[in-house]
Amino acid sequence: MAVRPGYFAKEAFSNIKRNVLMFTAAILAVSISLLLVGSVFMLVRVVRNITFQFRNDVQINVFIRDEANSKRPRVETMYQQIDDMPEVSRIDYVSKKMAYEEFVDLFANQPAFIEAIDEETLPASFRVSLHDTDDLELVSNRIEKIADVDEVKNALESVEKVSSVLRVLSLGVLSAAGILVVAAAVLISNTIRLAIFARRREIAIMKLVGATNWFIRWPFILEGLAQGVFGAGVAVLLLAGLKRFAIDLVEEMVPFVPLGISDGWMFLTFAAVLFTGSIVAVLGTVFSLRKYLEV
Amino acid sequence: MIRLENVTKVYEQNSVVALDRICIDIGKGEFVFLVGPSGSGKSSLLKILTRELVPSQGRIWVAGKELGTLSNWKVPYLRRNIGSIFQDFKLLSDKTVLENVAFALEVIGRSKSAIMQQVPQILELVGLKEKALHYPEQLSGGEQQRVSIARAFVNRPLILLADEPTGNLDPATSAGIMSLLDRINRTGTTVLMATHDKDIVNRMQRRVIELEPGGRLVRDEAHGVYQY
Repeated sequence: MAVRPGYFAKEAFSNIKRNVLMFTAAILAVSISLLLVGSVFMLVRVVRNITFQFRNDVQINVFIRDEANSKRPRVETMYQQIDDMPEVSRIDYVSKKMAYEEFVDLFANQPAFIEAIDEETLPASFRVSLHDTDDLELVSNRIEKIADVDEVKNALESVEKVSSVLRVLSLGVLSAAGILVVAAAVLISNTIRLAIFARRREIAIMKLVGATNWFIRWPFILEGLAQGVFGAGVAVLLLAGLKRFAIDLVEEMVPFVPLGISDGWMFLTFAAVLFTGSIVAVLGTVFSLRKYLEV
Repeated sequence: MIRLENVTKVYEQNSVVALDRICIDIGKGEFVFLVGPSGSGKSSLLKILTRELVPSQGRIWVAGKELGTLSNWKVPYLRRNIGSIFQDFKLLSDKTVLENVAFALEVIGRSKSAIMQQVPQILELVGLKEKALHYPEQLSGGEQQRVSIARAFVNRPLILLADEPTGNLDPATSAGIMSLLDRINRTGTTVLMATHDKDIVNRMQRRVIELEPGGRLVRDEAHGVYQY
């Protein structure tokens, strides 16, 4: 049988015209749910990047007792002991003066903070980097036992706290996305049901004169698919906006937070959004076709 | 052309027997009346022929195909060999006469040029060429039935099934419809018509098959008249 894409498109369009409001509502539902799906994609990427980058950058800060710091040989002994550990890749000495300068840099716009301290307030320290971040706890414990060490700190805990918060957040967004995706499928299914109802007499005659089942189904499938694809299109635009105006802006303002969403990843996100949109549309449509269109 | 062997139809929901071991053989080009009171299974029999209903038992051949072994996707192709008309015409009110008839060809994938050629021909045959652009509600009952006959016959089916086609029409209009069906029958089309209309059956003197309530075949006469 001759395939008639033009005919099917025309019929689908007349279905849509008959019920513009439902059609629009379904598109909105699809786009909002897919916006969340896309956000999850981006969020997952951010979590991965932040965790990965910070974990690799995590250093051990070894603060030196003030009375030891003034005795150069004691500091050199500490340095040697830490440097001898096989896990250590790099060790830097941060003097009181350097610590103060860093502090001044960091809080340049909060003069009250700076006034409260002077060059002597902050302790001197070693910054220790490791070959493998997994050894962090082990090495920290070992360093704590060295004489003249005041305190050992590493930022791992706070990094993990941040990434676990982000992880919970993406899980939350994912569940919301899941619920909305189902709602979108139901809305699409409902518009198709209405379209089938509006055309029940035509459908009866089509069956009577021997139209094939696929010939009857196609306009409805196109209508459902249009909702999924238009919805996905809107979601893609919103996500592109989110990337441009939120993510890029954050990266400009806080350059040391590597959100790291590349164009390639955005492309993947768009593809996932379009794919999910089509699947949702097809599922919603097929549900109604099976239930209400007995061919 | 149509052959039923021991066809039984029992509606499962209420165990009503609609057809009881019916055997009928209708040859090509025959004109057959199917008579009997309401509830004798006439409509069920017509629906079984188009596979809108599946019999509980028995074998059926329509236009050379055995329906029991026909897969679902082939049913539309079976129906293209069968035209159907009804008491209530089943026309689409938002389409013109021309569009109603063309619709039947469009949805089975006929080309525009074939449609443009066949539809005016068939409208001429049923005598509605002048009213091609009217909507169904602008037509009389008889004219509407002519449109429905045009739609059923435009694809030149082998068989025409008519379920009480004159049920809503006055005697004069009915006569016009019958002469149209008679003309269609003369082109070699097999016509099977379920009816209550005594006058029509008696005047036409064609083969009469009578069913009684409970779906039993009680009479099959070559040149019958209507009787209870």
